[in-house]
Amino acid sequence: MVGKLPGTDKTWRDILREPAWRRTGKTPDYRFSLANERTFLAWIRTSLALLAGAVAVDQLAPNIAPTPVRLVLCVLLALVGAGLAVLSYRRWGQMEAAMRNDQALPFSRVMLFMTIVVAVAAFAFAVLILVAR
Amino acid sequence: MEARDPGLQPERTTLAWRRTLISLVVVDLFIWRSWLTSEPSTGNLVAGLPGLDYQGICALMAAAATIVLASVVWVRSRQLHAGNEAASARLVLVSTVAVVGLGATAIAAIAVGG
Repeated sequence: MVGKLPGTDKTWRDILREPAWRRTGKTPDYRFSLANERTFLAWIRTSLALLAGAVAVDQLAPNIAPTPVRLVLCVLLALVGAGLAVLSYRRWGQMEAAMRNDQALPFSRVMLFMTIVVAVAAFAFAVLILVAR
Repeated sequence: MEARDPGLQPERTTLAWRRTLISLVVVDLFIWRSWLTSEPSTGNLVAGLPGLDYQGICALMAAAATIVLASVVWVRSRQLHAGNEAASARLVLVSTVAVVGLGATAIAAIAVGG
């Protein structure tokens, strides 16, 4: 079961072991760890909501726009959703690494980016709903 | 075991995990609905499994992701019931991979199998 991953010296066991940054610095107060965990979960739920929106628009509103436009919009929404899931894991790790080493929490443009994505998507669907009637 | 947290942090974290599982079930319902209402496929993506199109793969992936996340939520709830220890990176990573995998198959289902 423990075979080498293609192209690396790492085994599956290395991937599943606790990452190296988790052994640096000091373990944060459990309240901060749990808050960080809940923030991760909140981002994951945002990601799931985008996926649900993509599938729902594709299936429940087939006449909202010409098929190519609808497909592009839905694929974009689902892409942002999947990307956001990756980002939320990365952010969870960065936040804990910063706490362990007593550094300032990293600044990120994820919030600005997501605000723009949701606002643009809402506006686009509002226009499409108006035009589709 | 530590003293009971006055801010009920472990309880809030358990509820956050369960909320996340419920969100995943909502996505599942949309995916399964679109699979069940789609026309039966004559494609043959996987040898030996006729009729399995990207919609079907997405529906299977949704079931797999739900089982994985439900197991993670179960493990984590037990941990948080027993104490205040932080989540292992493994649990967080496995949940992320489940959601990303679901997203990838959903994109394939929308773009190709829709």
